[in-house]
Amino acid sequence: MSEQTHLKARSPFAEAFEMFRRNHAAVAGLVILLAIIGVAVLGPVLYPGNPFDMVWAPFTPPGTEGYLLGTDYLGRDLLSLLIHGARVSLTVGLAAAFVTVTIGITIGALAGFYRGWVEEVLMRLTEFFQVLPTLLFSMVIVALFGASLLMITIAIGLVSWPAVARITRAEFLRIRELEYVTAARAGGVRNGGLMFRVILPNALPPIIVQAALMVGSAILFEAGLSFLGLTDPNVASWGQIIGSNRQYILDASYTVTVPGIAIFVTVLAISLVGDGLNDALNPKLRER
Amino acid sequence: MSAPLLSVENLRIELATRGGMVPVVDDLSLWLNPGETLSIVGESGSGKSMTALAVMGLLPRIGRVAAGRIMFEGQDMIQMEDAALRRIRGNQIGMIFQEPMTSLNPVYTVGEQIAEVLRHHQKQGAAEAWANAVDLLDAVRIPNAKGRAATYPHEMSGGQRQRVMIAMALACRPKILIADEPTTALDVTVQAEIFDLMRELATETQTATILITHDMGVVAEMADRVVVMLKGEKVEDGTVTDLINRPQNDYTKSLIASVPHLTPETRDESEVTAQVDQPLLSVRDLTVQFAVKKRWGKREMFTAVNGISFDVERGKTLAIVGESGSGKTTAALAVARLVAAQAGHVTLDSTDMLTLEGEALRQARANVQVIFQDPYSSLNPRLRAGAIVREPMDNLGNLPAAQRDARVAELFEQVGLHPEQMNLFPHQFSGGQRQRISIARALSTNPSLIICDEAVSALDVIIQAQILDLLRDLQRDLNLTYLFISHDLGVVQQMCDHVAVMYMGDIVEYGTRNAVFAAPQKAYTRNLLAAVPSVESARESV
Amino acid sequence: MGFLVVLAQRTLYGLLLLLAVLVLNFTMINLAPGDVVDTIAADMGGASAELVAQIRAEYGLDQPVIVQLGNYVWRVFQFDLGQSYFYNRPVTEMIFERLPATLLLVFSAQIFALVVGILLGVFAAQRPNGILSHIVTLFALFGYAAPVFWTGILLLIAFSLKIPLFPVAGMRDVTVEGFFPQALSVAHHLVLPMLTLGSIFIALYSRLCRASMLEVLGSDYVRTAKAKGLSPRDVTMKHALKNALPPVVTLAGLQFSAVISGAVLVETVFSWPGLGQLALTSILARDTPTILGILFFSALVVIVGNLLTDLMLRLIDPRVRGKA
Repeated sequence: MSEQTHLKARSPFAEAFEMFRRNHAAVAGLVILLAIIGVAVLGPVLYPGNPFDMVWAPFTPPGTEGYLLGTDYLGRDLLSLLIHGARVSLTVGLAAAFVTVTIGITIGALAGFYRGWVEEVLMRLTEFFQVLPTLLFSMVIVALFGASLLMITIAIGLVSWPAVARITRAEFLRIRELEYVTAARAGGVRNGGLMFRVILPNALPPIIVQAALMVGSAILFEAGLSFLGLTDPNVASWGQIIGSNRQYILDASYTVTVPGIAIFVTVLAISLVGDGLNDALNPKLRER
Repeated sequence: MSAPLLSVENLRIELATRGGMVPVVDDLSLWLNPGETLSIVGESGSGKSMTALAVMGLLPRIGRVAAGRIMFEGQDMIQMEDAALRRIRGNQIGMIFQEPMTSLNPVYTVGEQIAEVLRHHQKQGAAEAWANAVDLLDAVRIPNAKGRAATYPHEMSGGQRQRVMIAMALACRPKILIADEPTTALDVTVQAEIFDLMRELATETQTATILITHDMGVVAEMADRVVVMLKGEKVEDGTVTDLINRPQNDYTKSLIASVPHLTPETRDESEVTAQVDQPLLSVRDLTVQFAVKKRWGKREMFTAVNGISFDVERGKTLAIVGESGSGKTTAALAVARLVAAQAGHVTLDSTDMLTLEGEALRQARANVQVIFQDPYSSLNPRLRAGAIVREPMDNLGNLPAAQRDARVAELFEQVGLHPEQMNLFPHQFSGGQRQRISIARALSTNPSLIICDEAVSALDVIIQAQILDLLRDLQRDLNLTYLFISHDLGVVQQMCDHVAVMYMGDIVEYGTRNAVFAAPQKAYTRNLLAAVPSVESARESV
Repeated sequence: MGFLVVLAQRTLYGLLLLLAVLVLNFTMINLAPGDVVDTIAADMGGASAELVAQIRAEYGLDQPVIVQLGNYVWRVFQFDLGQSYFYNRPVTEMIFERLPATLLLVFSAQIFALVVGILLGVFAAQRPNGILSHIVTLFALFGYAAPVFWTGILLLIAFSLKIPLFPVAGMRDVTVEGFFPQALSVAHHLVLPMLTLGSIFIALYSRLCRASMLEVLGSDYVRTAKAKGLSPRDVTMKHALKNALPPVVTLAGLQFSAVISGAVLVETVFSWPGLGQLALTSILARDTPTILGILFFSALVVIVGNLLTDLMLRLIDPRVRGKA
């Protein structure tokens, strides 16, 4: 490193952003993701009407005038269903990831920072939640407490947080032993400050990556639940389209393939962004 | 003289970086005669390890030999087929590495790892190879070799693992042994044992050795000839006696000068008294224990510091010296209340440190600050240098907020940094500069005691000297008091007024610098002093 | 520490987790609005207050909650999970009928995914920028992003309907007789569900195995192995792989609950007669004892799976052996 020559500050996040920008796949993923978000936000405005209305003969193949993607077994416009479904998928995905990360960080941070019996109790709790098969458990929650979007979001969050808690704890355990944390304590920083201002910002990179992946898993999760019919029957959702048209794959396979592609592309875009974040935030890679 | 066993001719090694191919070794030539020990000496980044790896054909993926020849028994090893090269590796040329803790495969027993070499190169059967592996472990003086052969690396100490590495490297009686900083990760007394072993085995087996090191003292004690490297190039070479006594190059001279000579020129100690009425820091019967988790959840206590007592006078330096596991760092951190003590009294500036709790303890932290060992992990990577230095002032002390930035700028100048560097992030500084930031941070609350915990151990010798100078200047100007923790006797000798030698939780020797260095009373201290490599053995008597 | 001691410790801990599962399930069912009696009454098109009280007494629902919980736990430890409200059969009987199918699917998909994932990861790590490496990366992305039920339907369309290589639904051909022909028939039916379920996890394992191998290949002890003059194959397969495996095995252990979850969807797609299908019908029918029973047994499968991975880790890594 040259001595005293460059005085321009380069924050670790600025460097990470630079790395991310150079990752073409990640940037492509981000662009696709933004486009899907755009569709979800503006779609119902651009393509109004109730997607559940029967608009044309059932099994109208894609490409028919006015019905770009054709109609399903009830004669509903597939494009309209998809556009309205994007909203549900993305909202549930983001909200569930938020719930997951909030619970996960809180429990992981407390366990990793305080150690002792706090850690013992919280990690046993985490292990307990990991024993419950996620989908079955959330099926039970949704079945018992109603299939509203809110309940689905909570159910997904409730079964997904252990992974985030484990990563957060591992990072806290690693970072709390580093000398700069001891230095901060010697400099009079209180416990709360140590946890949230000193350790947490340094623990964030892997958590951010995990959070991005959680959005993808939550979308897949919601799709799975609605594929099984465990969803709010009054809102359109991608998984539900596939589930309800499943019996007719011989007559009209596009009613299954097209919404599947929507889910696939969305989750793929999210994981590309997640991979980009991982490479950008992982200091090991940067040193090479 | 017979033909050299190995010769390196005009070697150039390049590494792929983001900025293209960068040379790390350039135009290097050297040779190794049968049976001799050649030392390649230099600081980190000099290219000495890369040279060794190139000889073995083990350069990292991003590296390549761009030019030159490596001749061994009439063949150029760079042009050699991979299969032919593998017949030389581990068979004709053995190698041991710097990190004994990570250089052995954790999932196989040490016996298996040695036997594997014999099975592979000498086509020995399983039973024969195992028996020979046990003999080799015995030869490198692993006690109870027969039993220990079946243990895993994690069940051994660092010194023992390095012995296993030596056994493995010498298993096939190679013509050449390459040792890359083989003792840098080890304690000084263990280092002395490993070197004794290497010398003995090399003589016995007539193995020529290439010893890579940063320590001129090691060169003087171990080598016949030496090559000095700086930034990828050879700056000087010759026999050890010539080079030590008549160095031509300034860099070589500074390397020689950095080696401690512990035969003391008696320093004026008129101001250093044995006892003072009112020491700044007084520690009595300090005991620190850790809970070690045992099976069935039962807790067992490990005593890291066993009821030690010492004093530090205002404006003076007490060094606590000891090997790894002696409890020196734990003791110092317990004084600062950064590690919990189980018993004893610590009085700093007439404050009883160990009884403080809560807010009173937090405020008292302003009075004792720490400079840490690792310049790469002691600064929060998310904060700017200025914020790092400012942090203790924001939390402690009573300087008005408006004056703090000016104070940070002043501190930056004091430690030899430019105030404009306040905006930079830690990764934009070199190791030495980071240590200066650490010092500025420690000074920020005007503490009466500063603990230097191996503060220069991670630095190259030349940078180390600069930081030590800075610490001494600051002590003189600001009348600072240091509690100086180090494993390095040379550094301790330069810095301290009093010394406490720790061994396994106890202070075994305690006194003024001259007393301890010139006339050590305890056998442990004498061993420790004797184990430090010095250039004296290669000096010609005048 | 002795192998048996560890096994006993882990089993005991697993039992405690199972007990916690029971408590949680029971609490949840009691927190939920409405209960089975409402469902039964609704099925009958309304019932009188006396009849409702009678049904309540019959199912023990008139007793204090804590007593109901105690009764439930006690019965479970006698392998009695109660009577299904919907099928009117003992729950254990129904579960034992279907458990083998689910176990077969879950374990075959896990083992298949582990073997293929590890092989792909090892070969991809040989050349971090080679073609295979890119394929593994791509496959990992695709395998993760494709909803498993969708993959299943696509495979079904392609390899059962368009090209009739594999059967469309079910687990065996009932007309076949004899042990080996039947086993063959089951294997034939298993191919598509196993591929579908395995695909997600192959993606996961190959990716982690590649990363883990790359890290291990850069380690000091692999350099030592090369310095010994060993062949690239010995360096990779003997020295690197065994060290790269623990993270992959650990991940596989953590995935058991996800594999079971995926199995629910795959069973639905391929009409595989396992617990997943039963779970769906009983959830739609609000058949509380059956739901509780299935959750209990799937948690048991996860716990056994975790135990197995734990023991496997001990075999691979001597450093774990020393720890409790």
